[in-house]
Amino acid sequence: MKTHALMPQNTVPQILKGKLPGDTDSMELYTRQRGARPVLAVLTGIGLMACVTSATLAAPVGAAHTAPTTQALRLFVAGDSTAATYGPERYPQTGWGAMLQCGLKDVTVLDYAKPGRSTKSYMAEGRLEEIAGELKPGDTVLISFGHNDEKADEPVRFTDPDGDYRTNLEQYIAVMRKHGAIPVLVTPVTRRSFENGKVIDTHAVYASAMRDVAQKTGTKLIDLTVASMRWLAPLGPEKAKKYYLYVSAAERYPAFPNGSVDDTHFTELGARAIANLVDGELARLGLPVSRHVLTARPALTRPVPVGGPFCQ
Amino acid sequence: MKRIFSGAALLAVAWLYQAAPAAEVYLIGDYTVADSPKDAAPQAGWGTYLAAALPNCAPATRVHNLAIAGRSANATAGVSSKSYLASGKFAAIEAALKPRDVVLIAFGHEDERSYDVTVYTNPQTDFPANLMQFASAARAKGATPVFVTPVTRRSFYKGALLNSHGPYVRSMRALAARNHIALIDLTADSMAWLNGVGEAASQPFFIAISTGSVDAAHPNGVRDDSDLTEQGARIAAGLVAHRLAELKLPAICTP
Repeated sequence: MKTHALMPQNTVPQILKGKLPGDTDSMELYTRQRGARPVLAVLTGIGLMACVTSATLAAPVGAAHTAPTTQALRLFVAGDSTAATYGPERYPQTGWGAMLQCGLKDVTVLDYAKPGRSTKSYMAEGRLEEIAGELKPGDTVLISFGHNDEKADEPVRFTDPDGDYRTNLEQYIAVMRKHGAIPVLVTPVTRRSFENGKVIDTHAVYASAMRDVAQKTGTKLIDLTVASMRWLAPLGPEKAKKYYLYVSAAERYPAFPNGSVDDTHFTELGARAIANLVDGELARLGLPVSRHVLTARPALTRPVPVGGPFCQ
Repeated sequence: MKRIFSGAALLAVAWLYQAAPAAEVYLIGDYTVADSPKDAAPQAGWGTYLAAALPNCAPATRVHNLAIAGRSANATAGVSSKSYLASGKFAAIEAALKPRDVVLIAFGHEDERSYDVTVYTNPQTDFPANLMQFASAARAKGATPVFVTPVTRRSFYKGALLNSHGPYVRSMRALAARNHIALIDLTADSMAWLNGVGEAASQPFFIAISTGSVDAAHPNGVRDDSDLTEQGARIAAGLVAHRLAELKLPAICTP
């Protein structure tokens, strides 16, 4: 990918520009708080730079821009920071929702995941309604929350795994179905949470609540908690660091002037690996979108990062 | 004959009470219970004020507040049932325990920190296992374990007080019922108290810390009021003392 002209149109995931009231941890504010400079300077190659810039500027809300055909299936993502799409100023932070596209053929991914949101705050901000307004019969929607529902000391986000976490998920499902869309629950992706060499399931109660909801409502489920723990365990704590947001100050990323030690969020390679798991599970669900999952997904298993969420 | 016998029995009982060494009450728990380090002021733990809240019983009873504050400026979390066990502090308490002692076991608050594996416990598995470890050790020494559910946070959302300790409280209650362990439901009592006082008037009892989480309904942010002030800690201690007296344990309130 040296020039924008050579880049196929569907290689760049959607970057949503829509903002709602209260969207305070949007990238703009984050950038202001950290006083970060644009990350473009660290990206190698003028061509790549042009590509990122034009992709960011040109991607509007909606499917038309990247849809390979007018009949392309659409896959929505409602979720949190682990699934969100980030601009180049946040690189290397990457969410798995931004990479799903790279394992799919003739599917348009619309990533509505937002950093910091729980089932509760996402709804309170009107984001469920926002997705509902876009939905058409036959669309598929991945619903993945839990990381922020767990925050017991934050009333705006906390939900009880035996209470409103379940009822909120049921509400998401009902809204999707009302619009003729197919909801798919996705249990929260694991943290890099090792103890004595073993992966600890820190989402356990929320994941099991979600499994219950899936069963009770007859909703398809991707058990990303289990899949990602199985992926993480053989890596071990040290090798896992290149997939989670471990960044040294020496790498001089503008978003991380002091580096980063983060066991929750993903680097570009981490987002690719998790997207690979999600696409792989999606293929097994027997949904219309399942037949559009590529059997070989080299863009999601590549060992070396590209510098952005590109399908190559 | 009967009279003489009961008289002797009374004497024997009186002698036993006199001869028995003073009963000790041990508190184990997190920073909502612990004596607060100076640099944490105005934050206070309710354990500090428990002895003062037991005026009629205190002379024969010594209260040892061995809860761990563990919330210095650099710590991301306090002490949970897991890290308390890991600290080795309980092993020392266990060695000192004797019959008639009471062990108040107050965890939950920090066990919830799912982002930190050094403190996080699964409320359905590790948390009850840890609690049972404390309780069994106490019972093995002839002491009485008493579970205390965590004091509520001042977490109002749209006017309603949330039970942010939910899964942990339910787990502790179920474990107490299953194993016939005395339980002081401080979560329920403190929530009832806070609901009675109301959102605005309860402010002096907690320390407001901005969580930085803001949404459309709360443009100025919602505060996490987890930490008790001295005023709040004294009230929580009063709630615990009241329930402790109701348990009629000899170590707490001798006849």
